Amino acid sequence: MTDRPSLSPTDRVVELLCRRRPPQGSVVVDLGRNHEEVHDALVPLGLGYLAAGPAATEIPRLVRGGIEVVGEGLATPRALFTAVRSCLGERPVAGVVLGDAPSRVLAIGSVLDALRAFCIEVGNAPIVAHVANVTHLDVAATLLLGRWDAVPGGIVSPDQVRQFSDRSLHTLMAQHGFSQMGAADVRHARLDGPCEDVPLERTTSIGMQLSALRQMADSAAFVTHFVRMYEPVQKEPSRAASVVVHDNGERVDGPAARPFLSVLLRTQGKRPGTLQESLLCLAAQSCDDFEVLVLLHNGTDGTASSLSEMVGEFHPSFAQRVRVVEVYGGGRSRPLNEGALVARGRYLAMLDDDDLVFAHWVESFREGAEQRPLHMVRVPIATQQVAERPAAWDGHQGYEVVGRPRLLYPLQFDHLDHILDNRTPNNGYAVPRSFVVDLGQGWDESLPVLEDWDHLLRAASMCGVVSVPNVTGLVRSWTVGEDSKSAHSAQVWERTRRRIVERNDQRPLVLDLGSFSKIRELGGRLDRTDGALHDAYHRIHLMHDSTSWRLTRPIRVASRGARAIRRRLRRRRPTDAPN
Amino acid sequence: MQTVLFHNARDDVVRFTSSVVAACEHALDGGAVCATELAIGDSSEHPLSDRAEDFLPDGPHPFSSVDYLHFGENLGSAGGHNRLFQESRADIVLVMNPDTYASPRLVTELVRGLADSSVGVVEARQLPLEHPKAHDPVTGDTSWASGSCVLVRAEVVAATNGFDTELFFLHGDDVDFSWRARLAGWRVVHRPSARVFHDKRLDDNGGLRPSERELEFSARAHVLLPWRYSRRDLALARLAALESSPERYQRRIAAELRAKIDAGDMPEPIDPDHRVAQFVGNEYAAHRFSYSDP
Repeated sequence: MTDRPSLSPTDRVVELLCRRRPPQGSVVVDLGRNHEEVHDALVPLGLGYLAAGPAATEIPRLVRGGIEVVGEGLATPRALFTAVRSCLGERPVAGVVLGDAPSRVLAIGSVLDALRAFCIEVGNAPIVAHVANVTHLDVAATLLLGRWDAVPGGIVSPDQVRQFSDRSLHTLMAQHGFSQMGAADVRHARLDGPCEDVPLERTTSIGMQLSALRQMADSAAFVTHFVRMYEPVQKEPSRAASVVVHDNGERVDGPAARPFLSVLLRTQGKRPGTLQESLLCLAAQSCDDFEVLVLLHNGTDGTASSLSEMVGEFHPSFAQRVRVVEVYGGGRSRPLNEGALVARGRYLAMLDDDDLVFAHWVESFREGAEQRPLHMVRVPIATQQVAERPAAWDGHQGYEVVGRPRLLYPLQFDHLDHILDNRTPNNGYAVPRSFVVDLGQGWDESLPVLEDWDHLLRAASMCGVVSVPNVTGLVRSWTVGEDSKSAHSAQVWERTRRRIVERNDQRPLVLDLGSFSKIRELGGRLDRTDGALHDAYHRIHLMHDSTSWRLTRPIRVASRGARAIRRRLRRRRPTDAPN
Repeated sequence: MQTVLFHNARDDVVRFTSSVVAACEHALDGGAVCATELAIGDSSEHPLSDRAEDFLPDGPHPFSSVDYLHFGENLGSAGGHNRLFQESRADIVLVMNPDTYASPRLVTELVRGLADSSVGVVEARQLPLEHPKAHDPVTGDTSWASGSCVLVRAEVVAATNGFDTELFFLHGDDVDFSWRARLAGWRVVHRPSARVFHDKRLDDNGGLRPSERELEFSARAHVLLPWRYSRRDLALARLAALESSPERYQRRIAAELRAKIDAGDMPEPIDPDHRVAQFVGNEYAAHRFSYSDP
């Protein structure tokens, strides 16, 4: 957890600068505050050093120490960089140290804009910044205790004008045209001083829960300082090229345009007929406060455009709420995770391309979310058997419904029941998008099956559940044809089930209101069963020891022998019979 | 295309017509039809609007005419459609329930079903709950077509005089219409590629949830259909079952029907050779499965 704790942020700044192997004699321009420290680390490496804009009070000391200085403070950044430029002359720039300026300079935007222009002018010089991480677990746990422990030099320090999380640092830099190209964060599992607070101690139950929760959100729970290297770019780079989004028609963006629900409709493009039916069910919803992301996983050439055409055939009132998203690589869950990132809805629900939903599917999710905001909403789903068939008389790519819908799972959600096994198909629950995106609770891409069970267990534990007992959907069970049940062996299912159980044992489990009584009731039932069994064993034991049982032993032996003879005779009879 | 409203919300009607707009545009673009018109009848007490355009979504539509006709009385589904048949100038008519949603290719696929000139009635496949009625997988032929979404030739309407409003107000009208069309020599086919969403829902046991009105009219049709199609024995057996039913509404219907029989008001039996009518258990066709299976 602790990554080379002896190194300070300044050491990491130097480490990052050296990673690029700057040429001997090139100059590092330092806008930070630890001039001597950085100077003393860089000069032995054959690099030049220029302290830019130090406080006026520090300049005499720096000059006395033989450090080259230009400008005073960062109040007029353009003028400062003009001065730096002329001071450098023809010397190449190895990089710029921004230090902790983002957290202490009020007008950091104009500094970054001027810095970016300077960096481009001197040949795309990299910059290195370090800021404290206000989202360190200990800061969060301390806040829960009602304290804001600001100490000079600490993560929370009185001279900071701005606090940073990993995301807000990224946003600030991206907004001003910088792209991250390296990181050497400082990590400490615990902040300074002995731990005297129960929530801050990792091994207490509450400490474990807080730690698990914080680590779910991102990987910066134990980072004390972000130390990052950036390069200037034209604009914020787009997301991974493995995801391509196709819009259908115009749409108004912005928070007001955010729908209640984003439907993550997963397809491989192999069953266009059933996909068309899933889309038809969505188009016919009684509540239209939702969008659809058709997540095409590893589609072949032309599939995405034929899906877009399929969507475009619907009336614009529906088609404009549908986007086709191409996703490449990863396992079954990759499309869901990628879809969650581009989704605009406040809630996420899933659908596979052979699932169907009734007209009140979205309406029921919204009803649940209004009853208990930000809870997982669960609706019952029926199962219907279908079989692949040869194409019908009209060329319809064939399958046939071969049985009535069956309700295999309870109408009401029961958390304890779901711990035993999954009782909710993937189109039977919706989760707040924040649970997936902000808490990092996506679908586990390493699971070949049961990824929905694993996901639902986490959602139920962390969000709580509201049940809306309307049967609102159908999942197909393919008696002939492939589905996830037939595509994987029984061993894979069992192995995955064990893995999920083991993993759930590794994290604290929070149960919903009322669970205490349910567990007591279950325990009581077990106790009674155990007592009855014990009683039965005792009676058998007494019977075995009784005189009558011992006296009747010869009769039992004789009757066993007679039964054996009868069986033997019965086996021989067919061979004696005439043809 | 025609539909009959009864106490529908305007937004729901607009959602429905938006699907019809897209399906008609697809059919026009692909050349399946050369023109389309939309007729909306309303059996509610009060008109939902006085402008037909209020039932259309924003944006362009492909209809050469859009008509809204408030009947001023409750004609039921059969009577409402008959009235709209009278107003129609089209060669083929798509009859739809307003609680349906057309798939974009619905009209195109249904019209393709008429390519064989012997076909007079083409039925769509309903989703998410399919009708369990069987059909011939090679020819598409089926015993009868559900009136919730069906395409019919105007000639079939002319030959049959449309739905029988004397006998059937709400339920069984489509079975009777299909069988009379078949008696007139037309084929009735089911077309799986013509998809339509029909807003049916499941109850807490995973079964279908019929309304009280549906149950009532279904019970009435249960006796009337075998009577009309020369199965007096079956009609009387069913009537007796209704008379001894614990359900009050069934006994009431039985009394009404018994009075009709006594008054000689029952329909003249047709199909004496049982060429078209099928009575399989409680159904009017062989079924692939039943929603009331245990």
